[in-house]
Amino acid sequence: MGKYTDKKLLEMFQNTETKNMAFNHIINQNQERAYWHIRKIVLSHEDANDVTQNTFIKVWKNLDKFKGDSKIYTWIYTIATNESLNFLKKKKRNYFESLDTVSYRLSDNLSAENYFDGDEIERKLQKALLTLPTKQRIAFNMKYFDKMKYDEISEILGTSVGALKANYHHAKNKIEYYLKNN
Amino acid sequence: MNKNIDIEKFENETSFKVPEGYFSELKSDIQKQCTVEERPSLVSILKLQFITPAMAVIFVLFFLYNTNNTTEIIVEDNTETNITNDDLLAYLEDVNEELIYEYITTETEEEIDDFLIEQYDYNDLIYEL
Repeated sequence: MGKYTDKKLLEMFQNTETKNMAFNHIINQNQERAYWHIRKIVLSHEDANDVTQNTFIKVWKNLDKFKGDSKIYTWIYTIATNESLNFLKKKKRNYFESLDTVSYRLSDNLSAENYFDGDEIERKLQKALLTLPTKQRIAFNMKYFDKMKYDEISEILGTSVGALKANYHHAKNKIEYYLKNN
Repeated sequence: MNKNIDIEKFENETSFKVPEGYFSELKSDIQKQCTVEERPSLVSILKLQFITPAMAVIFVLFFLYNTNNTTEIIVEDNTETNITNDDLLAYLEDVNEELIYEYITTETEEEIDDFLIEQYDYNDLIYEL
């Protein structure tokens, strides 16, 4: 399967005869990145599987309206982030529970998660991450684990580069403090 | 633990795993839920625009015609039908015949009593007493 530019893929997607082929390319190029991004937010493999599928269904339904003012993968990352946050919102026990509390509760599931084989320090790191506010955690994941550039993260999360840099520095200090004291 | 920890020196990889072959399966699951709608063929367009409305008109006319005929028949049935006790018996195959006979007999006796009472001359009774 050859590589197509975003512009070419959008043209192919508009054509009924090549729509499926274009979508296959998009899945191939983006599904793993999207999945791991989602997985780091929701932690559980089963939940990440559901959210990833929902993400690509949304891509399928809305790609014909996508204006091409950003890269397709950036757009998919944005959808994946929103779907993950929506998923966490649904896990709220009541109206007043915050997303951060929901995220923190996920750390209880980490020990029972079948598809996590990290050592003690990696488990502690994940627990430390879960003490961060959800959006700060997401931004940190994208920089620390996904090694994305600040302007890419800025485009996806709608936060300025300056704010992201400050956010990352703050998050790093909190995590290191948690690891030192637990 | 007092030593300074610098997470930048970690491997920067999570230890999350996926089942073997997961991403092939994921692609397949996504594709099953995302299908291209078939382009309507000329035949289906014709069906929608002409044949279906025509059939609807035919159906309505047929229904109206049948409804009118049925009304006449009902009127005829109501004015001329006279169901006898024997007719009822013939239809009510599952009903206990003894109960039917008992009912008919009782009704007949009551009818006789009513008739006699109507016919009885009270003047005669006075003379007898």
